Amino acid sequence: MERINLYLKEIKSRLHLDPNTEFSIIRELESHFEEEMADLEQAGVPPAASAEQAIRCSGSAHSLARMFYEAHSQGTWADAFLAVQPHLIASALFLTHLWAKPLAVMAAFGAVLLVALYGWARGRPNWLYPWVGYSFSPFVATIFFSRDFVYRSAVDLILGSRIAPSHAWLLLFLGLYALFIGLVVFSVVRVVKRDWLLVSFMLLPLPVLGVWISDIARIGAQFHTANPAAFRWDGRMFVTFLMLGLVSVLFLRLRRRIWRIALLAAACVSATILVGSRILEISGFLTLPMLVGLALFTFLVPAVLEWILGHGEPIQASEQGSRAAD
Amino acid sequence: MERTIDASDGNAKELLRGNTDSLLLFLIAESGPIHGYHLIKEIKRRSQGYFQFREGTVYPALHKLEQEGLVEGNWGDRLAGHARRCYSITAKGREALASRLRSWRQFTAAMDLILQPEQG
Repeated sequence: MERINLYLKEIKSRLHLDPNTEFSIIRELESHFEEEMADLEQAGVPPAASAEQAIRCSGSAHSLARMFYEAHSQGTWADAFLAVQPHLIASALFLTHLWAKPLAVMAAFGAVLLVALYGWARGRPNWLYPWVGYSFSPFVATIFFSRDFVYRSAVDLILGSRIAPSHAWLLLFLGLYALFIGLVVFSVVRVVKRDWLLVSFMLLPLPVLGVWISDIARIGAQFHTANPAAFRWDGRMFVTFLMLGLVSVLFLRLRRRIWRIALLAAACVSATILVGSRILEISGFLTLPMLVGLALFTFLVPAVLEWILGHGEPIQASEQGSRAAD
Repeated sequence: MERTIDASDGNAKELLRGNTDSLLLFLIAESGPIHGYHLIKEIKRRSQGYFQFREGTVYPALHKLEQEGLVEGNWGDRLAGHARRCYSITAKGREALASRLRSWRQFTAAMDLILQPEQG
């Protein structure tokens, strides 16, 4: 049974499904192989040979895992509808220029955060990941808008001769940075153990938001701004988030993993090209191919992370109990 | 008859594609709660060895049928160490099966009519 266990372990490492479904699939295959080997041994086949024969009849672990993935991974139209909502909220904020109104932004963010927390507590259904990605956006905004102050205060603290009141704010911001980074790392690590592709799906809007926020921070725009330069991005951002919404629907409805990877890679590159032109204007050395290369590299970092951390989320407590009963 | 569908039998594989679900639904409806291994054996027995489905074909297909609500899987009796997952057809599955069988019979009847040499 050792050979069978290795084979099943290889299948499990390639499934990329939620842990309860993976557990159920492996358990079902275990009972199948147990029965098949019993029949083969009854027919006179030695145990080692029966294991090999059973595995040969089953097919490659890769193709078996791929078919299970295709059977389980497709989201429903309801999932797709839910997944597209945060993209529509973001695009609406830019279409109506309401991103400059703090109440509108707080209401939007509050809704996104509540749904993200609800979905996370419910076992992270497929539609959740865009919501989680957008819930990180205040972290990105806080870091961009506070970085100059933090830098100046830190330099002042290190080189200065006395403690100033602004240093308390420095500590507060550093604490917030640590909290934000900790939450992002925790979320990414939990999701990557299920599937690196879901991390890429989750973080898809952040580079777009990051580029926009960096430009807004650079020109000194903020809420209630009257600076017309602050709104020149709005049309492009509206289109970009609509595109990301469409990508979310397609991603969830596609069954085949290779098409999902291709779709997200194309979306990453397209979004970068759509909003990255501003970076090219102000940068003296970046070219478009370099920017696209950077976007693809960022897209593939979760894959490297999964390779380092390994695949396999802990299963839920109820399943652990029934597994122990077996 | 001891033949199997193999990689070189492209015609047979093409014909089977799209009908695997119907085969599984029919056998599950007839047999009552049945688990995957017995389903594979039953397909081979009834086809007199013509169909030898792999686990890689049957189990993902069963899971897909369950996702669509056409069959229901439950952990049932044990065999030595592990519990077995048994599948039974749902009401929605019976409707789908009836529709597919109608289509299949109409299709094969029409094919049989065409494939007979014309008289005279």
